[in-house]
Amino acid sequence: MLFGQDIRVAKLPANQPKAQPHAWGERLKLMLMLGPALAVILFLFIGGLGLALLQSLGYLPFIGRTDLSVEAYRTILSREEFYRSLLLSLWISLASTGLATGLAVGSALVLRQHFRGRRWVMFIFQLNIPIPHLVGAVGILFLFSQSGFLARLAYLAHLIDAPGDFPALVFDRYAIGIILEYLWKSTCFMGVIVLAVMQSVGEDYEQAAQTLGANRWQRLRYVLLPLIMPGILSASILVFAFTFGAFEVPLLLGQRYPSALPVLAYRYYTDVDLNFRPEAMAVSVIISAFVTLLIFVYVRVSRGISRR
Amino acid sequence: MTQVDLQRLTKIYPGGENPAVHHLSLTIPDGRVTALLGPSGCGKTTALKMVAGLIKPSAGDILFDGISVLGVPTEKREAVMAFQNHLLFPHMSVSENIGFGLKMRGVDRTAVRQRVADMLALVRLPGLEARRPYQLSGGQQQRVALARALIVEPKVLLLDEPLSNLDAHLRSEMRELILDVQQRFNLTTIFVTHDQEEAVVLADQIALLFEGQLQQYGPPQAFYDRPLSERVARFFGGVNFIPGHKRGEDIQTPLGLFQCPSAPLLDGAVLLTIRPENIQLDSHASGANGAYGRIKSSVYMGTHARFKILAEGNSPQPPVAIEVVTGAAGVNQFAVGQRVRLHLPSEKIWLVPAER
Repeated sequence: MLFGQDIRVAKLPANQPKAQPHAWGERLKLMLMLGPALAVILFLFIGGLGLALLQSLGYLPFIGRTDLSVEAYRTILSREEFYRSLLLSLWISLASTGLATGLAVGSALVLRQHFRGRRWVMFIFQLNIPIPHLVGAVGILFLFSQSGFLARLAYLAHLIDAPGDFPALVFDRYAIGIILEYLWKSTCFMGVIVLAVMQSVGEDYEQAAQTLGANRWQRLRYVLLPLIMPGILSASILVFAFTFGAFEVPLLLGQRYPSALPVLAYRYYTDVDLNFRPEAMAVSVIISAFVTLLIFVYVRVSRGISRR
Repeated sequence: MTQVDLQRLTKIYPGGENPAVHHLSLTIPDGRVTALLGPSGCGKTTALKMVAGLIKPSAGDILFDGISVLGVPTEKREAVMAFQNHLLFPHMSVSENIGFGLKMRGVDRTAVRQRVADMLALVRLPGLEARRPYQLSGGQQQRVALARALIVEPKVLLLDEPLSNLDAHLRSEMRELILDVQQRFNLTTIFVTHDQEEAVVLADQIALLFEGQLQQYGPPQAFYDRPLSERVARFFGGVNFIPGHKRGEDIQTPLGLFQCPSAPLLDGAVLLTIRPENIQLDSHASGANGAYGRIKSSVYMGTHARFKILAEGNSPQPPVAIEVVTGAAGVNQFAVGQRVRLHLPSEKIWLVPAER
């Protein structure tokens, strides 16, 4: 017999044997080692979130309010301002994440090649990662505002009659300045992650596809992108969650109305009337819930991808 | 069917001191299996990847049916490579993997589905279309990789260590499958291996490379019977090398005078070599082309017996270690310490230059 009937079909992965439970001493040791980190998470994160939830439900003992209700949620969900802010925040996050993803993948594709001066290009590419967003926002103001460097340059080059004629890229309704700042920062951050994933995947699969007749575009579309998708997804979810919840850049570069959701929460929170505090917290809880939901969806999707 | 010619093919990697492949010239006949054989790092995979177009040669030329393919991009070269670690796309099912090449060529789905089913039948894996690569055994993955390469009907099939990741019984199944498929499609096949046994069983022609340089190219039998150097002979299991000096048909050695009319016409310092299984062992015979020796050790190997013998000539020179393989019964016939007569048939003796 050549090989016909003797084919062994691989079994699907069987359940792994269950790990033996740790001995008590081992468990205690683990808890002691994890304790400090868990304490920080519990007190600062879970504690803070719990307090915000309580305040959003109207629990403000310092002004004599201890009854719990969903009035703050009802109020903000009935305001048009909230929905406009939500849409603006979604636009900013989606646009900056989408554009940064595209640029990051493009940059990583270039940076994984071997070329002269690659080390310097890599150095410059990563240079802005440690620079704070606030500095970036000031830089965007300095460059793109109607009294900024580019406006003056355009005026000097007689491209516009006055610096004020320069298109509004900051404090504008499309949040271009905010998106530019996020792009400046996130492209490099995502690029570094995507590049690391590409390097771990290597070029072998693409070479196999190439000998099978796949051109450059087909190799990218059918081989490389699906293989690096988990990395792209995790990097983009981080960027989306950050841009959706961050308030300092929209506060500095955004228009007054509608403002991004975190700015709206900040405005309510800093209002002299403490009765706005539950609404501020309700907006914050909604932002947190939205981001948590997003992460949940991401985990499901990435599990699906890795199972494939 | 495509004849592949490599003409002084050379590859020097940036920063590399020595060429990975140096002036490799071969004519690989159409419709035959050719092995690029050599130890790790000898440049055989680099040579294979140059044929595929995945590595650009530093010098030399590659011709398919007499036409240079150096300017033809990999994806249009029609030289499909199956890799050592299979490289099935993990995000695709078995049928998507096999149909990949046809999809890239824009073949319609119904035709792809039919061809995939044919290929799965060919590699004896029907019913696994929906499986993912991680759900397959190593042998099954190798079969899928082979089907994926064959479905596009390549001009040249390139196999990089096709059996090295498989265990013994799967190796022999896969070996037979490769030969079966190759003969059925009459494909020009080049495969890379470090295993001389694998090369001998699969290949019509073997090209042996050391340090990027071709040592010998020819049919498998030539590497056993007519090696061109001591190194080639040793790579193919040669163990008996007796120093000598050739003048005409006579070879003067420490064991005496030997004659071998069929050996190459080398005059001067030579090494006389003969495979252990070609030496005849006797307890009392005498005659030409022979020497006496004493058995130092013997090992029973089940199907045969292997003896180490210290052979001596008439001269006062130290004895020469010779290995002899006999039938399994030899172990009962000859004992350790026994004095025996070794007969080296002149037609089985081969000469290689003495390496300095």
